Amino acid sequence: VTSGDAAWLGPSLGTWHPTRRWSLRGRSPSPTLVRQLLSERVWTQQSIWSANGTPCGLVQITKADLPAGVAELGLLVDPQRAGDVRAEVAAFVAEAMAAEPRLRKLCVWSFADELDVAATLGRAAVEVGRLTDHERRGAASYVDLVVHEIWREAVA
Amino acid sequence: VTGSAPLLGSLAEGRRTRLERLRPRHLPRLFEALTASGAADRWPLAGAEVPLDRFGDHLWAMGPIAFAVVRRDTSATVGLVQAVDPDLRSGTTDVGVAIVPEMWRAGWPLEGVVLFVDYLIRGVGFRKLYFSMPGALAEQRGHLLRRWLTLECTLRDQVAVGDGYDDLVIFGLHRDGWDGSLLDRLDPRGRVGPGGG
Repeated sequence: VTSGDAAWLGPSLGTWHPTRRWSLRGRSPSPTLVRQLLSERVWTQQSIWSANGTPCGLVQITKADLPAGVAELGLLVDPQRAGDVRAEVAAFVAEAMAAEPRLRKLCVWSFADELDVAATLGRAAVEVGRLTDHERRGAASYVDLVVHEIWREAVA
Repeated sequence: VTGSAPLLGSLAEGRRTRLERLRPRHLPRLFEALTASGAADRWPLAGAEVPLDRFGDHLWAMGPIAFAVVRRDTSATVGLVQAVDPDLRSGTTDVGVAIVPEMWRAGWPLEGVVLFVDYLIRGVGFRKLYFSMPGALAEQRGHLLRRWLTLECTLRDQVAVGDGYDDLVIFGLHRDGWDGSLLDRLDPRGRVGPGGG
């Protein structure tokens, strides 16, 4: 990821499918926000490009707690090319875990109406719970925050 | 909830405890509670080495809705309650709770938590509260927790404990499920009386 990636990441916010970190949650996608999300507590990250040279996703590992061996997986995915992104994300996760033996597990926090975790991450991601009616969507409607885990054993 | 001094002094009073707006005089006892070996929650230090002289600033940076739990009879500080990562748009917040070590086996300081929950829901207007804790503690207090809270998520082996790991368990409390009369049913030892639901 380079500073140039902010140029396509900004317009993608609000239309591409995110994990919680990249969900706008009522905010405007300012350049400051994009820079913050690309730097704050990021352990490693990679942009994903399709064969025709256009960006189609971003994958990050953030909030790494290596003594506990856990971290969060962040995603921003072009829904039209979720299939292309899936293989790249799987390879990224496998490489990250191979590079850091202490990393045992990744957690994925996503809103139920924003990211199809099964389509993006496959069966390696297992739902372990959901915070019901967590995020406001309308005058009186709320959506669940869904929690998945990806264990090292499922990636190997 | 008794007591109504919303600007200064105590915020709410129960039978044995009251909530006081956080002051420098509360900090030494709270520092002890949060740095004690075996403290239940990684909040608010999360492993950070924060010296006592910067502890107050650290707490304020975690969020402005924080109160000391104080004994009514001696005015001794026995705990801290705080709204952590409050989201006013969605009406949700995590609730941080710390109790001084010598009170870990006593039930009555938890009256302060009940006062705080009531303040968050009926006073501030939060719609949903979350309580995160290690799996061992959730198991220990499971019968009581499940009476009032809903288990929403278990992150397996999420926190390092000694040479191993423990789960992190997240419980939720919806405003619709909050019964403020719980305050009236707390007996002087901080236990819920026969009408406890």
